[in-house]
Amino acid sequence: MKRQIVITFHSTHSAMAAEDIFKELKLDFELIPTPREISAECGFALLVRGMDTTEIKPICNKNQIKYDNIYLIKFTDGGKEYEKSN
Amino acid sequence: MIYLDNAATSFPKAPGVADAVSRFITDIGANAGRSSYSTARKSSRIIYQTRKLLAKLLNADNSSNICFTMNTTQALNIALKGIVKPGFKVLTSPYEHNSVMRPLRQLESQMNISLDFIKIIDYDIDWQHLLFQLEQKPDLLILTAASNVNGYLLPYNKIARMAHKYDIPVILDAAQVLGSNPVDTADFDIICFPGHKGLLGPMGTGGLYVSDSISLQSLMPGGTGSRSSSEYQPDEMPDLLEGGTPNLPGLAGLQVSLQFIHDTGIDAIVARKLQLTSQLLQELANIDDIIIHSPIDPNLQAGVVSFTSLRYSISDLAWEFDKADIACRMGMHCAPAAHKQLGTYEQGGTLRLSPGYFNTTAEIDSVIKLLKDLHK
Repeated sequence: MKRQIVITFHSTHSAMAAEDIFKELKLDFELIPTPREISAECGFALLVRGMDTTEIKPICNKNQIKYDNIYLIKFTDGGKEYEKSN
Repeated sequence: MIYLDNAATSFPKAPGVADAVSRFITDIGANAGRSSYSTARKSSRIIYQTRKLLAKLLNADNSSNICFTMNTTQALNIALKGIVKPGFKVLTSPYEHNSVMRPLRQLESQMNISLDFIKIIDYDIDWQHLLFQLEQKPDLLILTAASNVNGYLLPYNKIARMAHKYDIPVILDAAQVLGSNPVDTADFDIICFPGHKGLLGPMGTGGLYVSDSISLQSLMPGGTGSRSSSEYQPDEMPDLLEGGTPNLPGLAGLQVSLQFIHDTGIDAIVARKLQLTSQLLQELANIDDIIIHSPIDPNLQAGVVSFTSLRYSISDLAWEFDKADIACRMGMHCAPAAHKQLGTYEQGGTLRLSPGYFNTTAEIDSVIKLLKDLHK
């Protein structure tokens, strides 16, 4: 299975801005309801496939994307865990 | 109908605006920024794209510095009440609309602020006196870009740059100019604007740009969809100033009208408005017993013409216009300060004609013919 990460945001505006840039960069991503396991802040988050946290961070920083946190999804037997990036 | 009341609100709206409003209600309808289902995503994108189009128009680096409101009045109240502190000295112009004057008068009685006015004589700023006023270090300058009464286009960029030399924050009321005159965020700390006038969008839309140098507090804290676990208003723009569900059908329409303005070009829009305004002013000047109360010089005009007649009261004139199916506005235009400046306050104001981008020279000809017939 492809690696997957979840990016959370403080505001809808920041999520929309990130979505705009990810589209331009042709990343494989999707807007999803923010997993309750990680945050109850903004209603939605961006799920990015095929990247890990060390790859996405420079992209976010270079494009001045204001994110809250980045999580790596770890698939376990019958479930998944979200590992917060430092 | 010949519609010449664009200073109140533009009509018709830009092509496609009504369809966008209707389509939003019938096909989308979801709230923005709260959920991630498909129509909610569409709503969030409408707001985001509309904000970006505004940022482009205002030459703002970051569209998150722009917040939506229901009109300019709300934007001005957010700006003034978010910035003014007890005892503030506020400098303003003698041409302000009540959307500026009423909040200022309220703050005068509630917070003991003092007001000072830029001296303007016959559309000439008393620059020497302005320098003196700025040297007194007022805490704030709030200025209309153009008079809604007579179209007088103030040298707002020059005044703002002078104020900034003295580190005085500047709020611009861009109600009569945005969409038809250039306004650049580089010169202002806050810019307040409507969506339904020069931007050719629906009523119930407007907003304000707030530079990073200004810290405002929310006048209406509430749900934003963000930081939902907190009972305190987020301090991040634009959510800080956008509590509650926005006017999404209106913003869907505003998105379309902003695109129309970008496609048409500000230069083309201002050229058309000034051509019609000049035609109106030149023809009015040739009619006996009509007194023009607007600047004639196109460089001083934002496209609003005020006049009175020595033969008719303004109410009788407005009645004649109505009978001829011409939309105009007579009276004080919610700007008693401007009428005092113009000397038209005591007589009850003026009759105002304000052409828009969609008016034609033939329509102006019809108005002139009516006035000529009345003044034979």
